[in-house]
Amino acid sequence: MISHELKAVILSALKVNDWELTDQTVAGEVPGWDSLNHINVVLAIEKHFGVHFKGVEILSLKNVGDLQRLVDCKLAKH
Amino acid sequence: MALSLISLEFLPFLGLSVVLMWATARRPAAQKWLLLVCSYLFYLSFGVVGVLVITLTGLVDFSVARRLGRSTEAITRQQLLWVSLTVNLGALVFFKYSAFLAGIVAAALRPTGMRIAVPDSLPLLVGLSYFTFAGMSYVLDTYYERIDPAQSFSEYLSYLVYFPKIIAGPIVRAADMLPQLRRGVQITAQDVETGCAYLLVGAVKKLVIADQLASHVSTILATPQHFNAVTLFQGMIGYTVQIYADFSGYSDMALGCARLMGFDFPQNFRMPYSAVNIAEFWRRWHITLSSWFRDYVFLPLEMAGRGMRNANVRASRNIIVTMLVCGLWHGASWNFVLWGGLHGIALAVYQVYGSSTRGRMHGGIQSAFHPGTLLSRMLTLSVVMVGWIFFGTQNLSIAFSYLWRMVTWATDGVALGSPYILPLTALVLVTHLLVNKDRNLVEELPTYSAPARVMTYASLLVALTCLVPSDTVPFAYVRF
Repeated sequence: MISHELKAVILSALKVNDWELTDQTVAGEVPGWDSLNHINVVLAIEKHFGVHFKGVEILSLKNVGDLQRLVDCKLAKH
Repeated sequence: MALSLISLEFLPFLGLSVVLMWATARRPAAQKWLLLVCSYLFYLSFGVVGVLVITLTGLVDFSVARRLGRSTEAITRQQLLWVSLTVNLGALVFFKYSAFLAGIVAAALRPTGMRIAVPDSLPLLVGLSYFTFAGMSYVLDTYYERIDPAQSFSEYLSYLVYFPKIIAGPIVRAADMLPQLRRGVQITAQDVETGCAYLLVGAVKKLVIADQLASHVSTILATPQHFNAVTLFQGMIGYTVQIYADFSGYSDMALGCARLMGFDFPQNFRMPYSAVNIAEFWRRWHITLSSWFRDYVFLPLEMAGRGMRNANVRASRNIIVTMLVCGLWHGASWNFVLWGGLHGIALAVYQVYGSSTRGRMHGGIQSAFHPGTLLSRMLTLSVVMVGWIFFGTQNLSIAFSYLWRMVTWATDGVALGSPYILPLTALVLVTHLLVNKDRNLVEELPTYSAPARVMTYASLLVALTCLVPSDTVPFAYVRF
């Protein structure tokens, strides 16, 4: 389940008004979420939640569900 | 004698492979060994050296991935990864780039008076660029824990050496093929029809369109100084159509062969000349290669450089570096490097200045005939066509001469007419204009009515029977 907060950060970074994000959603399905914008999404999430991702953690993500779990894991460690 | 997807000798080989795969339906162990034997026999027709190299690099990759699957220590995992990357890149550098690099070193040392011998280029090792990239993607995906390692060396090899894709791609990821191998494939009637459809469409693209243009276009590209600007423009347009038809035709045939055997491969081309910007072009052209560079070069560079304050500088640098390497992948020549650099600059400009249009392009569906869309398509295609001049000419001197003669509208030189360039160009571009660029008509064919399908297949067969030129040429992307 993708939190409203994470969804808002992602869509804001992509300048998209509304889009459904589920656990299975992959980046390419979301308007504007291409490789050129990917790092901007990552940076926006890091800044909003006050977390830091390792490169290998981001590159291991398969879908938005993995991203949500990674954010939850980082927040739990704080 | 080397087998080719367009040779008549290939058909009985393919037919026998399909029958044997059908006879071993849902028996993955038997299918795995069958594919291994067939694929090795196919690749052996290109020479023993390639077989040895792919087996050795495959053994290294399999062993590394297996250890990655068991190792949790970060430093050990990095070291294992570098073993695989070194072996694969080492094979690429040795067989493909050693003469090129030696030439660079020799040129750099010349002002000092030192001279070194530059070796001749080694004979082309067909498929090297493709199977090393497939191997590296497998190990990288294991490193990033996106997939589990292959269960056996034979399983991994039957993926790596699989004959429809070995000589010119598509660069299929292990994540796409290993699950299909493991559960075993069962060939359905739809697989047979769709597979045959891909084969027919691919053969028409290659033999009827690309090869019909080849000799005319190659003459113009080889000696632009002999031709006037009108002819040079025709040559540029002709090559634009030829390279698309040749390579997408090959990819269609590879997909068709795989589908006949029950495997589902990813698309490699999705109407690339309908792109409204250069980023979209690269999401539609040689998709398996561009996504490889995106996932394994560009994104890691982005992650490594995210501390940079200026996001545009960071992204632009990483885009250009990625595309320069992508250009170099195509061949050991400054032409390809410059071609990659041109696309890198275009992508960087789009990244910096084109982002304001992204919402409009993605957020709403614009008609293909909207003036803004048509203009965007023309601009994008213009950049792509200029790039093809570097891609299709023998060296930089010829490429610049070609461009200069076009830009200055050279009127000296011969006008070399071709009855094929404009009609075939019109055919390809009108198709890109009229057909929804996200549809796949070949996949849709089995859903059409029987008369429509019969008409379609009959037309393709008539085209293959009557419109193939007497002199066909090898697939263009086999040389990469």
